[in-house]
Amino acid sequence: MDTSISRARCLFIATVLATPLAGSAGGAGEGPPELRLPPDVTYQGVETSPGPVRFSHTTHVPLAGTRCVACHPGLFAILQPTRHITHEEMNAGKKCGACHDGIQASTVQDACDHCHRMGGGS
Amino acid sequence: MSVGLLFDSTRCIGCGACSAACKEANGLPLPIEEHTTAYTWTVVENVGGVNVRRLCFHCDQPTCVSVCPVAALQKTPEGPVVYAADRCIGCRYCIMACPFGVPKYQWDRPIPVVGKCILCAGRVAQGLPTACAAVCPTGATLFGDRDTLLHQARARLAAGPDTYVDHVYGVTEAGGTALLVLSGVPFEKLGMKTDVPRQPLPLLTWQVLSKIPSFVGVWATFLFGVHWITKRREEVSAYEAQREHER
Repeated sequence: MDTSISRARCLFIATVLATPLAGSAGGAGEGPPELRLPPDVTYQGVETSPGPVRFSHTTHVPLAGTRCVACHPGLFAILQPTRHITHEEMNAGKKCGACHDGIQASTVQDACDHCHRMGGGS
Repeated sequence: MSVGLLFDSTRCIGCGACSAACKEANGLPLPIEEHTTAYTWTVVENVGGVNVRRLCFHCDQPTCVSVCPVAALQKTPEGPVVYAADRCIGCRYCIMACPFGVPKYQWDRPIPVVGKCILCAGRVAQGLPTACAAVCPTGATLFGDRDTLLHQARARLAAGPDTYVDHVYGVTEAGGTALLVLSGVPFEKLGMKTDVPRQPLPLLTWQVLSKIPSFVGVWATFLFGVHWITKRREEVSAYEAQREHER
């Protein structure tokens, strides 16, 4: 019982704190709404991987026509971040491989440095 | 305190993130259909160039809850109208009763149940926002305390009288709903019902149902009285006829 009250209280405080922030983003519907995309995702990869891969929503979203459903949740979960992607999955047309098949977009078969940042870091 | 959602159709870009997150959070099967179904609890529809979300309004006094004969639908104190599929007998009263046409039936199943948005009641109980509000990239869908959201909606109307239609949909509709909607075009042009009664609909049922116990009581007493008098009269006349015969 105590926990439910404190949760409700936390929720209320969070709401009160978040309200001025939400209100300040974008002024009363003037102009197109501001698009706040999720931050870049870095896939660290396994030991044999040539380096981590960084995915940017900023470069991908315009290509998908601002349709989040082009990738979510069919290819990638939207609430739980994907931590690990294998080349087997991509070769089977899943994850990045759904678009990066050499026809719709660059292939994931060669040119490792296209995605993997050699030497790590990003 | 009860929670709610504020959907501002002028800020929605129709990206569909809300539908995707809803599917994931509630373990619903893909694909995301064009209109809401028992398996797709929220969609963004483009009506005349305006993106508008379809989902349950979560009425303060829900008609679906009042008509459900097995209490499969319940209004939680936090705000969500939740649904227990294991209690449902599939009678579809809720589908008929909902003034917004929200609950949908699993017509493709041999033993169907109903499907509708439950305002992510599980997430809300953990202090999280609904999945749709959590992923919305433009802030078109906001989650929070319903009163705070209503205050915010009215502030937007005051700040942008040329941008919005001067009404917060959900303040009075069906007696008030947890979902509040703002629009730049008249609500009926978005396919939203504007002829929804302004008072809570369960009141209509209650006006009749509350009188039934006294109605039954009065009639039972009256009919028993008629029966007793008639029977007594017959007994008396039979007794008198017998005494007449004995003389």
